[in-house]
Parts: sequence; structure tokens; C-alpha cells
Amino acid sequence: MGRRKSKRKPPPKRKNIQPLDTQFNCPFCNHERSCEVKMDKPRNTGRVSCRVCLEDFQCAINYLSEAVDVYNEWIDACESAN
Amino acid sequence: MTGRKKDARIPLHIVDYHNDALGFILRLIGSKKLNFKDNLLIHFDSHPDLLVEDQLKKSHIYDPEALYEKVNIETWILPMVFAGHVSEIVWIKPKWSTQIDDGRYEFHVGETVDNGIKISGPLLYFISGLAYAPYEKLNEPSKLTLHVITWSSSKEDIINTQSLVLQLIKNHNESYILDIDLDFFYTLNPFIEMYKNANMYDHLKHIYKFTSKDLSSFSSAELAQNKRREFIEKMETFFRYLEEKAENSSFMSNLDCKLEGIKDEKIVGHIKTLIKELFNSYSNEVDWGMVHIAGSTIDDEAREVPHHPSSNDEMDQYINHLKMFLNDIYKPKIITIARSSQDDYCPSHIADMLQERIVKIIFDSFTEVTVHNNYEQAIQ
Repeated sequence: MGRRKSKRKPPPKRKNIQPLDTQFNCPFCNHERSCEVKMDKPRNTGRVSCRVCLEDFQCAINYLSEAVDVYNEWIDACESAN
Repeated sequence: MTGRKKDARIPLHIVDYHNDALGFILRLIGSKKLNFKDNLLIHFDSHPDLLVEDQLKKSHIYDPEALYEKVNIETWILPMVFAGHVSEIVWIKPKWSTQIDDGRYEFHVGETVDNGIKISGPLLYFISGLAYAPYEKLNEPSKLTLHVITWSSSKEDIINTQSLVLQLIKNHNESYILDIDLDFFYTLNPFIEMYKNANMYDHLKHIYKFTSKDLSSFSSAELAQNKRREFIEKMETFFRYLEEKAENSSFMSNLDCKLEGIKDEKIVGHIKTLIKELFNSYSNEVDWGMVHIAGSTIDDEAREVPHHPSSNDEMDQYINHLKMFLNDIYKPKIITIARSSQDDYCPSHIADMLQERIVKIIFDSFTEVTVHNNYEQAIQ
């Protein structure tokens, strides 16, 4: 049979993905860690805003999205605009 | 500022346990670098890895951390199919892998009311792995097209596969995952050597046997799976009893009572002999739960978990064929390599050698690749 099975018992509980950032530098006012992301998963919307200069950005998210993805999309949008 | 679009390099994630690849693929989908729907998976492996954890629910799939805790080396792919992330799989296997016959299959993966996520493939592989359900019982079914291709020694196999895969990659708008298990080149069945002095594996073959002939004796695949489930659950209960009571040698006198649910006398005989031999040879050192896990990998001898310690020539040949195959293939969005050394499917020293050679081939083929070694924690 093709059912290979792990010899682990029980499988070790470990995370293979490092925790991701939740605070980011602002691409407009350049303040460090001044941008926070809010993930509205029921509405599939992510919003990042800078508490210093109040610039913000919103984009579509999915159940796999993390705060860093919203921030990166903001940076991409800034680069495209420039 | 470092935007995503500037980073055009292909991420290559090397893991040890194959299921650890899942997190990196889902992370790429979350970051929108891999399409949310309808990706193609090219899966080089000696094993299909196409089972699903029994009682895995939709709610587990949509909670990634819960999902990572649930999936195992043989069950990490189908959750992506249910979620719609992967809709087509090409499983390329070496000639010693016989679990699923070559061909093109169309199945659906959906959630049943009673037993969680299942697949509508009435094949022995899925039935004996308790992963099957008829299409009518699947809620929110997602379609899966599966291609199973054996690479023999012939170069023609590679050319034919390449032409099929090129077309499929185009069909999926070049959104595909390249996944390579190093046990594709050299694979062991780790349970064969376990408790060798008690001939554990040979006894288990008699106890857990479930063949295509058994399957055809039932009026439906579902009925056959129900019988298989009943047997597996009885064995699980029995071995759990041994786990709890085995420190007390008087447990042997209770065996008959605990085996009452098993009607086949030959099987009961094999179970008793196995238990006695294990106890005589290994006394209290037996991990009874692991004996059941080893048994539940067994069904039809013709479709056994492959055991093939390849010669250097065989490995060279498959490595050269992979190189030839990758030479004219579009760039994947992500590459995952599983070493499979910690579970003894591929010995560490072989995995080290293979990893070095395969990573070099990948660099030669795709040039812009960023390697992430994610296996150190697993091998500590």
C-alpha cells in the first residue's frame, strides 16, 4: 500500500514559520514602526495606517494573509505610483 | 523600501518532514505571489502523499495553525485541493512505486458530514487509507485532476512528461509549485526493520492485508471502506489496551477476550503470535501504538510502501533525467524539497548528497533562486 506513515509519535509540535512583523516603517514620513495593520478577515479587507502622518492604504486579503502582506502591497502600490 | 515585485527570485524551501512544505506554500499564497486558486503541483516522490487525516474538518483547513498541527507526511496535499489552491497534480514516481497506477484521474475533494474531508477516488490507495467517499456525499467539492507518471530508465518518459507538463503549466498561467522529495531517488520503508527479531513486519502483513480482491468482494467501494475502517478501529483499540496494560505480564491471559471482535481465526492467530514474539524479544520496550501505525501502512502486497535502496547508477540516472526535465521548463513560483531523513525514508547521508546535487541542478536550470534551509530544527 502506498500509505507511508510517519514514525513520529506524537508528532512534535513546532512552528516552521517564524512570527511575522506587525509594525512597519512609514514609506511617507519615514518614522520607524509607526504603521499598524488591521486585518478585517470577515470583510476580506486589510488596512495599514501611519499613526504619525496618518497616510493609509487598504487592500483585499484572504484567510492566509498576514499584516506584512498588506504592508508589502502598500509599498508596491507606492513604487508603481512613482 | 523593498516591494514584493522586485523580488523575482524563486524561493526554494528545504524541509525534512514533507508536510512542513505546506506552510511555505500557503504563506506564498497569503503574500499573493502564488495564485489563490487553481495552481498546478508537480510532485516528484516515491509516495503519493494523497491521503487525508480522518476527521479533518473544513474549519481546520481554514485555520492554518490548526492545519499544520493536524497534517502529516502522507496528508499534506489534499487540504490545498479542498481549499481550491491546487486543482491539478502531476505525481512523477520512480519505477519501484506502485501505489497508484499510471493514468489521468478526475476526482473531487469535499467534506462529508460524518468523517470530514474525503476524496471521490474509488482506488485501493484511498479506500484502505480511509480517505474515500462517493461524490454524492461530498459538500463543497473541489475538482482535482491527477496525473500519475512512472519514470522508467527510458529518456522517452522524460520527453513525454516534459511535453505534458509544459502544456499544463501554460493552462495554469505558469502558476505552479515544483515539489521534490529526495526519497524519489532512494527510498526505504522504515517499518521493515522495526522489531526485526519478532518478525513484526511479516506478521503485520498477514494481519492488515487488504487486497484488490477483497475490494471487489464488496458491492461498493464505500462498503469496503466501512469494513476496513471497522477493522482498523478494532486494532487501534486493541493496541491501545496493550499500551496501557503491557507493563503487567498478566495482560497475555486477557488477549482472547480483547480479540473477540476479530472473527477471522487466522488473523487472531497471527496477532497472538506477534504479541508473544514482540513481548519475548523486546519485553516492556515495545511501542505498541507504533506497531499499529506500522500495520496500518499495509494492504496489498503489490502496492506496498516502496523499499528501494538504489544503486549509485540508479540515482545518477534519475538525477540526470530530472536535470533534463527541468532544463526546458518554465520557472515555478516556489520550489520545495523534502529530505525525509528523520522518518528514515531516506538515510541522512544519502539525503545530504542528493540535496547538494538537486539544489545545484535547480540553480543551473532557474538561476535566480533563494535557498531557505528550514530543516535544522527538525534534525536536532
